[in-house]
Amino acid sequence: MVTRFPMSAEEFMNIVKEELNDSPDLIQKVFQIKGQSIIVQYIAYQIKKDRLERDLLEVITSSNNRWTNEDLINKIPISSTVQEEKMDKIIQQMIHGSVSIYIEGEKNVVLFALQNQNHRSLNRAETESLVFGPQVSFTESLITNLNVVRWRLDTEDLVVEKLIVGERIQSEVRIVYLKSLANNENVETMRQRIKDLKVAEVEDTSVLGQLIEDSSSTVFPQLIFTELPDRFCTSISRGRIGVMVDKSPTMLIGPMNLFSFFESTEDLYMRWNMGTFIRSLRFIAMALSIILTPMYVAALTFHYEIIPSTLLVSLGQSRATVPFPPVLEALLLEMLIELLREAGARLPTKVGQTMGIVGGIVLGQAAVEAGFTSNILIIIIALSALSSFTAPSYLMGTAIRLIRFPMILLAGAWGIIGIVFALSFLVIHLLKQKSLGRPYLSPIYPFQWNDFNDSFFRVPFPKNTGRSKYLMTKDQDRYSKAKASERKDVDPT
Amino acid sequence: MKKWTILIIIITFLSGCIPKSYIETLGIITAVGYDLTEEDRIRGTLVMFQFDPAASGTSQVVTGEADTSKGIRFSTGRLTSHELVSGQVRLEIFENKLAERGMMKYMDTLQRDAKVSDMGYLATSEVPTEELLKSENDEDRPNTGSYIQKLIEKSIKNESIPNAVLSTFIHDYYDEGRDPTLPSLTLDEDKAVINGISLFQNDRLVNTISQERMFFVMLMMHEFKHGQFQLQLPNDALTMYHKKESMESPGKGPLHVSLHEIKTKRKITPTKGTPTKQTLKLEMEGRLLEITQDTDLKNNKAIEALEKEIEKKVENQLEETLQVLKDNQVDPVGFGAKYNAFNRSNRVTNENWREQIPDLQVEFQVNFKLLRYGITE
Repeated sequence: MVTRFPMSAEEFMNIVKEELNDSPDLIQKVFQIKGQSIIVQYIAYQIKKDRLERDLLEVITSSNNRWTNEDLINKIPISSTVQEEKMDKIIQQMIHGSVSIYIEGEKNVVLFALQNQNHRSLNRAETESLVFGPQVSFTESLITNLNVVRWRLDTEDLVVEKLIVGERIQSEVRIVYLKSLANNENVETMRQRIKDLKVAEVEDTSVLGQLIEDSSSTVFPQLIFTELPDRFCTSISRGRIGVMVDKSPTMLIGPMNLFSFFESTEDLYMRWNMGTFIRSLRFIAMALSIILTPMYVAALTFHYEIIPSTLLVSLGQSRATVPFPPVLEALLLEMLIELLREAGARLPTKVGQTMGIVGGIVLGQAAVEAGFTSNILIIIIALSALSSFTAPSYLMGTAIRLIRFPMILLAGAWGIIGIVFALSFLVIHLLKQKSLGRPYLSPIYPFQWNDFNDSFFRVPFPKNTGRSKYLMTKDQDRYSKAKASERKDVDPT
Repeated sequence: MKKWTILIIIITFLSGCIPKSYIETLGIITAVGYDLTEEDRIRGTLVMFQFDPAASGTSQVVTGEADTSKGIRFSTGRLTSHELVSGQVRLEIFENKLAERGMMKYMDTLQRDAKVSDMGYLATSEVPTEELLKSENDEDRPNTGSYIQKLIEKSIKNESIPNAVLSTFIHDYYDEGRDPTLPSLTLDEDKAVINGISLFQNDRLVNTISQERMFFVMLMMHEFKHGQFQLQLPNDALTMYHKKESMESPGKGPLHVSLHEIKTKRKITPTKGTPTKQTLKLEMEGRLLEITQDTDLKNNKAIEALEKEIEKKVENQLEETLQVLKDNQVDPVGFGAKYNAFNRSNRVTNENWREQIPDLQVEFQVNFKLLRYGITE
């Protein structure tokens, strides 16, 4: 619809009313000042009414001169002002919380942004909690989040690009990176993928992430979602690219490799030896979580030879009462743990704790006493469930829990051959994955010894002077190695 | 999609091809004993675990007769509701009568059977293995098989018997100029004990070296890291170093010394061209734990004299032990193999070495060093 200003006050008001589907909250008011018709229109709940009345209406009504658009922009003490002549833009701005003022006879409409947004303030992180380190988490408001990011990355190097995604319901998306560090190709890939999206709407960052990731058939996440500003900003300062979506408290970072899903910023805050220990603990936990239950099933179904002779008696005795084959037994218990986890996640926190006790202790104990499962399997299942929760990325933890089920089935069908088959498949699958076009299994393949400093180990800072090679940062050195180890103590001896 | 369908079909159908052996349906054999019956058949005694929810004990011993060692499993199969499997066999005992006829035919099947561990222990028994394995003793938990296995394992670790795993036996058997040994078991008050080392000519048991000589065979065969032993020295060897204060009668009674933390270094040097002439140099170190005569240990000369006496006694005992080995025409030390390692001419083979063993001349050079003897004041 092409509308041409100037138009009469009545005509303009009718068009706006029609465009907004006769919204009951549309306020339209015509002021007659010095024979001039000044039309003020806004949506009631979208704007700050006190500021409208104090800063805008009072100035307009108390003036003795005739108003022009120039005067509106220059004399009214509100900074975000736009002149607009296209009707669809005007409507959009009003929906976002602008007050439109039209002086009859003028060629443009002046819009004053007086958004009234209700959102929670910065809070403690819930899903990714740190014991040691910053506790704050992102909120749903993009403005607040940008504010936090700017505050943490206090440099003119930080680039924030704005994109709009969604054809029916639009969402504002920001791409954040460091200009002098982030690889151009990575930025270009990220920007291109978001720009090329032809979707009706994007509900959340995690939805955007799934839309732009390299492979949607795998269980492994290829981009990291985080609610922690410190993790987001640390990643960006290392040359990764961040994406923020309005209305979502999770941020997206890429490119990632498999091992970065087991890194936590806590590793950096702790001393390097502790950090390395905890990081390797997570890798061991992942391996245990994947291998332990299938191994039990394989050993008890096919390979009684590999059971240590000291364990043989207790294992055999506890198995003797169980009426199911080991595969079924393991699958049942794994299902039980998954049920407990899911029920605990859905229930309110207070009830959730009770459920954990009922499920974990009562059910587990009773199951063994009733001869439903062997107690050694209970230990194994609990251990592997516990291990899967150590992954700092919740999505990675879920992926690990999921790949256990096919592995148990294969172990039940083919024994250790099945496990080896599944593991080989897993490795091949991981080798094929990419994150923003970068190899997912780096630094193992392609092999980069220097990148081990940042993925498997947490090397002391004076020693860790290089940057991860697979990120292809413009600047390959963090700082000079010689200067980092130089001591500057003011000490006479 | 097609790929996945094929994969799932393969997994489903192929999994039926693998025999499943659920642990609770198995009778897991942990130890086997072989005896010779009067009719020259083999009587096998199997010690096994079988798991029943109702039964209090998990251990069972069954006996069966057959013509082959593997046949025993079939003949005993009718005695138990569980399927007998040999994947956990950690111990195989052979009655002396059977071992005297040659062990290799049994070793061969053990070695070729992939289910049987090459690291399982072997032993010979003076009494029928059936009695040995059916003996009931408090220490035999969870069963006699694992008790004997632990006994042998501990003795090997303690360096009181040579290694007795299947792979060592087979290695020694095939090695030119070396004979295998095994621990020998017997019953003592209804309890299985080690009573010596069995000597083999190739794979035939010929004799058993007694417990007292075991240490000296070990001295020749093995380098000690933390062994222990005791010696009887001549009664008057240290008379002049007796403590003056305790005039009571310090020199009365026999002189015994107990030594531990023994470390040895052994060097066998064969003479070029003549395999029967060899030198064995033995560097020994040890701690004096106990001495039965009241001796003045602060005196360096006393220590030197003690060391000299020990050296003399050890050399003496080694000579005697070697004589026993020569009498039996066995070479568990591997003097012949040692000669082969250094010489290309006049090589020793399994056939000609047997004839040469009685002519073996070994010069023993023992050097003993007493490291510590405790606090003397």
